Amino acid sequence: MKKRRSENGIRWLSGYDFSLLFVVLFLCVFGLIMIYSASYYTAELKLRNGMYYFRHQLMLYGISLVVAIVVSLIPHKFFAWFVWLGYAAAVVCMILTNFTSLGINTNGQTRWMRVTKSISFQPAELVKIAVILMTAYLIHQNAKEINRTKWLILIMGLCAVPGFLVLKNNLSSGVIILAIPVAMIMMVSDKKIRWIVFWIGLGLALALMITIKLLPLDTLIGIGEKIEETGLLKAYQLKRIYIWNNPMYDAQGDGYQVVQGLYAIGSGGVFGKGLGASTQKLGFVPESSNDMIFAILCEELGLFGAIALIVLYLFMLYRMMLIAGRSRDLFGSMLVIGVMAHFALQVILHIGVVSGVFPNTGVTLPFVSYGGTASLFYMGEIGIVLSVGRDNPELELVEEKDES
Amino acid sequence: MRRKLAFTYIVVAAVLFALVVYLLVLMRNNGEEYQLKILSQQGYDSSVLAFRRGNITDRNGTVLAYSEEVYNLILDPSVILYTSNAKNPEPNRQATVDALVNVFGYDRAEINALLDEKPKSSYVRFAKQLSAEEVNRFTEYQTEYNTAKDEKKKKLHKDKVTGVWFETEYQRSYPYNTLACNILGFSGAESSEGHWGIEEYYNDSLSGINGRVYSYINAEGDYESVTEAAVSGYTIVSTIDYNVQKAIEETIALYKEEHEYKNIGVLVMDPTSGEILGLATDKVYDPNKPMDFSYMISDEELEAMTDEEKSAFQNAVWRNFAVNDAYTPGSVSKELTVAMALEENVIDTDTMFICDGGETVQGTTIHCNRVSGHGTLSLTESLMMSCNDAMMNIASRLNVHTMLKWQRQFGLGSRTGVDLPGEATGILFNESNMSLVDLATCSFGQGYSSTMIQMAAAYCSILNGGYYYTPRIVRQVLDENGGVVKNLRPELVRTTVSESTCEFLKEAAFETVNGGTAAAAALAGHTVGGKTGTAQKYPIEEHNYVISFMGFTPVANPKLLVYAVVDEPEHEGTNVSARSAVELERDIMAKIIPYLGIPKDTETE
Repeated sequence: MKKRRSENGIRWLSGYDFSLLFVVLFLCVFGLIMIYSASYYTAELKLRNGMYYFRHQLMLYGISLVVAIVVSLIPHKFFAWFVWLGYAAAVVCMILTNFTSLGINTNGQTRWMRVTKSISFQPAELVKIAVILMTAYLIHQNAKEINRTKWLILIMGLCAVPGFLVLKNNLSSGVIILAIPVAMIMMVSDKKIRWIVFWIGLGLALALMITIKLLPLDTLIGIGEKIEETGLLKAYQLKRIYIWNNPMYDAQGDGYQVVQGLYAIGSGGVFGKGLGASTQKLGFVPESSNDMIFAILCEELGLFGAIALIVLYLFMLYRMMLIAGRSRDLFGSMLVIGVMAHFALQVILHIGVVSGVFPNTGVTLPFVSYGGTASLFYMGEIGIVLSVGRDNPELELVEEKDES
Repeated sequence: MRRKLAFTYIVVAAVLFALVVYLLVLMRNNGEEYQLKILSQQGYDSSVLAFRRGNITDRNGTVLAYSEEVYNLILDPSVILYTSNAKNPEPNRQATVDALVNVFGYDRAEINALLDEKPKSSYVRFAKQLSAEEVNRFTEYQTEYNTAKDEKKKKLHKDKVTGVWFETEYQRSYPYNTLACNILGFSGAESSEGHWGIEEYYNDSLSGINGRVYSYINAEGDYESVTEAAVSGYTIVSTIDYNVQKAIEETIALYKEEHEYKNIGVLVMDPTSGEILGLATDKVYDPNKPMDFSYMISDEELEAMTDEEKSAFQNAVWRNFAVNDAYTPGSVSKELTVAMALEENVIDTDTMFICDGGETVQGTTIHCNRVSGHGTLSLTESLMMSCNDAMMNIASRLNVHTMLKWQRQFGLGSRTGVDLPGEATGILFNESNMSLVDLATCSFGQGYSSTMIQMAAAYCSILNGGYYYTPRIVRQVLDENGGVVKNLRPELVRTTVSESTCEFLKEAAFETVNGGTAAAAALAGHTVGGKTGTAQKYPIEEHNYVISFMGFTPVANPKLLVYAVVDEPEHEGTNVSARSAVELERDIMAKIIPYLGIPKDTETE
């Protein structure tokens, strides 16, 4: 009997995806180093404490790690209980942020919600996790009828409520929140027409993007002026498109952040200037430790560092894919797929924005960017994935063999 | 579902790979350019502290030019329009604009328009050259407002007056406006620029060194700032005397009302040291606003000029006739001719001359100023009557070589070294092109040109016993605290003539005033010596003249030399008299003597 218990312990642990946990921890440590390097100057200048952001982030990672492990120990079926609670909380938070004085306005956008005097958080992050939970739950509950348009409309409708509330102030998060359920639904969709529409939509978006990005600025401005005459788009919106096409259009104004980021990337070269040697972080790149951290990373560690980081993310996504594929119930799979979609979008958008492929909008780089709310929720999501990973059919096969 | 998942994974990986390729292309195509851009925007945060340009004072310390601190009002719209809470946008705007309107009386609409136009700027120079007093008023208002408590809530005002600051600058001021403008010159918008006069010649001494504040993050990551204070320029103590200068300018102004002329120059020197006590021309401008010519010419006329014309016009106003222009000196130089002949021992003080109204040299007949002839003259009488014939006689005893040697000896034909910019040299003959006719005309000051400063310096050497000093307009360079950096003592260049020659010439000059051509120069109670000059300008056919008078006092031991030159005075036909120049000189000397404390030395009327 004693032997059996210890074997159970091993089994319990062997269900745990340590590879995923370690790659995430590694990303966190990597992130801490980058935050330390990128934020020291501005922190010293503004707060007279160069270690401020580093310490703050270290503390948050400590808390987040505990949260991730606690979450990972909860059987994932248990999360279904929180679906509607989470969704309601997300919507309420978004309403409070948008329409009451609890919202904190910075740079003309209301993205933060005040909890107490010193604590505030970004409800958009809560919305992301709530949407993942809810979509996974609804797909799981209605797996057989999921190809019916009714469910597609219902799920997307439910996601759109908080999605558009986020979109108002935070384009990138809004896009991510709306894209996650689409990705999740497409994973279980077999209807041809749905796929055709999906591919055409994606193709059109891509074509529009490439057109805007590749057209010469003068031509684009010519077209823009005609569009402005029709009143379809306003001058400030067109200006954003021009800057997207070529940030030099307003290098000292709205294009400043992108231009400085490009300077950082371009000057880094293949092997970078060396860790800590960035000059662009010395007050030139705004948001150097969160929305633009990839630029500083490229400047210091070069293309080499960028590829290393991307490989880490790909490995992380690979581990998640395995867990999703192995999960015994659809709810688990869908949870992991949602988290995968979230991280993949987050990474692609961050790198795309920093390198100027996408229009400028603030997206953090998971586990690397500075940010309290985000890291807490990211780790929570990792906890969910780990929890799904523990529910491993192959383990049970072993157990069944043992018993037989 | 696994297949879809795997496919999606591959798509994600492909997108990330595409981004990496994009980054690589970015680095390869723009890497170097971006590296340069980064270097160009690097640099320490530093700001310049402007230096204070040194003062210019007269010999008694009266400040003729100084730089005063003025303030530029800088608006920082990004601070004024700062919004932290959407509910209460731009909380400080109202208070700040109110403050500006209340303290300075600016136009509210103008400020608001400016703020809306450049909301993100941090540096808008809104007003220039505010006084310290105005700045204080604003700062007091600001402090009071920002610390005052709201009467109802008993709490500090939530809104603040902010985003307004002042930048120090120096403005050059000439407190006596036009006084001594020809001597002082003017300083441009930059403290390190000087144009004309002492401002230009002593620009290096007057200019200080800009200071700088460097701010940087040191190796420990601490914010440090190092201030390198600005070094003020040196004070220049001129040799001129405010009262003398004022007397000269007032007298010229009176003369201008009654006479027609092209140029007037008056030079007052101390013969014992070569120091210039005063110097003025008729061209007057205000160095406080050197570009303002509205008192002479309408704006439209100035606008209509080409750049070259405009520049020529400006230079004509700013230039200093006494130093920058050479003219035909005329009879004033006769003293020099006699001096060189005495030194060469070709005549002595008892030599007699016969004037028959002219002389024929190599077939050219040159008339005396009195065509009927002066008859028999002593050497002294020939100077008293300013007889050309006698001078030609003396010249015939000299030769081209000695004439040129002595002209050089008296400092003609080369720069005197006076410390004013753009000194002209005048033109002498040289041995290869000087004919006997030229020699004859040179004896009475025709055929060559000299500047006022050259002629005055040459006279000084005769008056002080033969010592040629470099004429000077600056006597001392002082540092900010009044410590002496440099004393510019009289600089003896050479000796010219013997003391006995000097004594004779002074006596002859005294007789010229006493009973000769310059009787108008006499002053009651003072022994005055002098020599008139009437020169024909070339080309002779145009009948333009230069009249002048070189006067000095007291005769026994001259302390004061006044040289007045009127270029192209009004005249009827060929009948030109130096009388108005003599009177100009006399009026000036009469005003100056009391200031210099020269005692009466004679009982005569």
